[in-house]
Amino acid sequence: VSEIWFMRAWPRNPATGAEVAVRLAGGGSHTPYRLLGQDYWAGLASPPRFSSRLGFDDRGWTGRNTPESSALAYAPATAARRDKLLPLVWKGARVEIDAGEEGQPLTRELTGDIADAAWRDGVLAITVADLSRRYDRAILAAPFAGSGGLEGFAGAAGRLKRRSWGRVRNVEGRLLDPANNIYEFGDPAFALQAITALRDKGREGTISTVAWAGSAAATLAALIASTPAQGGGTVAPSIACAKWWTQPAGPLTADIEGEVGAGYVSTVAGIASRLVVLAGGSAIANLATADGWRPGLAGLHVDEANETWAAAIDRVTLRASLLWTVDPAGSVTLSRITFNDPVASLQGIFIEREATLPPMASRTLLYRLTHRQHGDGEISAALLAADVASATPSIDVIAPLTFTASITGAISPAEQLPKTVKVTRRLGGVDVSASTTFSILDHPGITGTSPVSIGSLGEVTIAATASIAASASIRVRTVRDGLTLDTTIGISRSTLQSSGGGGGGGTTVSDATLAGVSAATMSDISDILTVRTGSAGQIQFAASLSTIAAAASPAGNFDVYIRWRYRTVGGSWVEVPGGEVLNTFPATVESEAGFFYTTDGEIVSSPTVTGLSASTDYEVQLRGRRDSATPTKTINFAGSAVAVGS
Amino acid sequence: MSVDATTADWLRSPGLRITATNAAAAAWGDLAVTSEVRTPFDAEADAIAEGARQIAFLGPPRVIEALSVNGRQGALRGKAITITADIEGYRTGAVVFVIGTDEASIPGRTIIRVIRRLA
Repeated sequence: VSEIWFMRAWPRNPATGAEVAVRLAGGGSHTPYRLLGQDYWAGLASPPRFSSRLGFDDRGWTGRNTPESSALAYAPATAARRDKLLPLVWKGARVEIDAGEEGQPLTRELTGDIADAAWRDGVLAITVADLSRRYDRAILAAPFAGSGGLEGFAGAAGRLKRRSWGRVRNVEGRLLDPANNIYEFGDPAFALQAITALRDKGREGTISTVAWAGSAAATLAALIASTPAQGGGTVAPSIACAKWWTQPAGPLTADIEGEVGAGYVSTVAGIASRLVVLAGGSAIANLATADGWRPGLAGLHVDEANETWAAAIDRVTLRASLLWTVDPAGSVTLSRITFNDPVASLQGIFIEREATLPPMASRTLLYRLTHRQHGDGEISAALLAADVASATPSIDVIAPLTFTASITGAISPAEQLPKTVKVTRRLGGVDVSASTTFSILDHPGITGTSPVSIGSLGEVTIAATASIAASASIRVRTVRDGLTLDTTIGISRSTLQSSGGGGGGGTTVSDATLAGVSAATMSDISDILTVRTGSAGQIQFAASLSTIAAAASPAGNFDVYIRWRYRTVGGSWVEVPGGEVLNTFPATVESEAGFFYTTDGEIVSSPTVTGLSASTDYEVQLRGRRDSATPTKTINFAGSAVAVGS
Repeated sequence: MSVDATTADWLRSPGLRITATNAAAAAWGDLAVTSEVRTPFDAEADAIAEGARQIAFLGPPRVIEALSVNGRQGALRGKAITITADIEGYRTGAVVFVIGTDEASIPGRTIIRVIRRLA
């Protein structure tokens, strides 16, 4: 008994491109080369022989399994036959080979394509293309064109059209139509089974669904026309798109049940079989059995331009300890990667040992993959505590702002502006400003060019050029979850004025235009003032000042010292007793999210000097310094330096 | 909608994790390897079952060896078989996993490449 083989190939007529059936056969000892009523030409020297190799290393599977065929050699019996075959175009031709023992049923050995055919030494050498060729094409279709509609706005041009099968979680939505807040989660040409969750910065919103409207364009129009509930979205799974109620604060992500295609699949084997079919093969032969091996919910998300069908099938099967094999006839089956249940028992001859693989101490498996992994800043603050319906919304109370002004009403010192304060909205005590919409309602008493502005996190800034009335206010509106809360920031302006005369014939002098300090050595804060003592021969000094650092870099706490001095007119300065006085608390500047927040400090020095000559003029002056000259900063003073003679 | 810190942790990670360990590898010290893999599964129970399968296959020390067997055996790819040969490790029959087949090199025979557990 010997083996016999029959080959059918369909090379093309070079003139017409039409397929020409060629039938060749070989082997056997007595069986005629005739099959199903067709004659075959003798001379096919051998049936195809296949080899295959799986990649495997220390950490598991690295490659996959596709058989390669050896070349087929055909030696024509006559010159006439040779001359019929030579003109044909063999490259890319379909080919089928059946083989078996003589007298036994034939089995299909190969269903594939011919890579090329060479003519050498009277032999036609036919090379069969790699059987995996159909699986080695990239999955993703042409990217978004950016031409509008389902092809996305101009900025979407060139972006991949992603695909998903089975249960896939936290896929990032990418902007398709910025004017309408439409986001795509995949190729709109392939309907998804469902979009089951939408999250903005991780915070899940309510969703409603737009049904298929007869065409993809009509469905997109219906999605655009929809009005999502506040804090939620509308989804159109049939075009893999969603609309969020407003511009999302962070990444907009979705949990997806993948493509429906010929029926939604969500098991490892089901997804693999679907990929095989979409690549052009037949469904996995032992699908039901394989589903029984791995019944769990699974998913696959394809978001790389070059991933092939083969790589994707590997990704979903090998990581579930299943192996897919393409046999030469083109049929795909799944088998389990295990040492259990051997299927055959054979005698062998040992050839070689190739490698030794070390033991594995631990294997970590990731499941429920987040296809968009969030950074720390991409989680809504509301997530970090219970953002529950029973939580009470609130706004932090803001203490009234006080500015000092010169007699003319101008803010003095000028460094009090710009001034920024933060409006914080909370839900159940948790800061939810990041997901709140802030606006300025009005600001009576504050005038100028754009005198008041507000940042996205509620940062209210009074501009440096603003004019402030003696009494003013700013009303701020906060909107979140459809609920509006307003708050008012009270503002007052105090005007510095000199007081009247001292007692006992003495005088009172004051200076409200004070110089700032930046060095760590003493410098003048007030002018030199001349005060006259009264009958008691004493001077009461008074300085109760605010210390002010401008709302600008660098941030920090800025300590200052002050000290009074006096002298007879033209005499030598005498420092008042008690030494330098440190501020009660320092001026501070804090930086957050690009805004600088200032808190004024306070400093008080009010010593009394006695034993002076009665009814005599003295010169007095307030001086001060910083505790350190670094970092560079000028600390200004608001208030009056006053000396009262008595 | 209610969301919790567990969800926030998940969103910040590439996925949820389980680890399957091979206690027998402790004696090997640094020679034993560790690895991580992203599975397609959605449920913890499926990941745990898969972890048990993978550590069972990858846990013991193994060798990759080549043998020749009679006939055309390309269909053995990706299957466990019992193979007997006149050499230590195979004399009483060894269960191996076939990762490669070559029908072309030796007429009438197939060279198979297998993974065999040493322990």
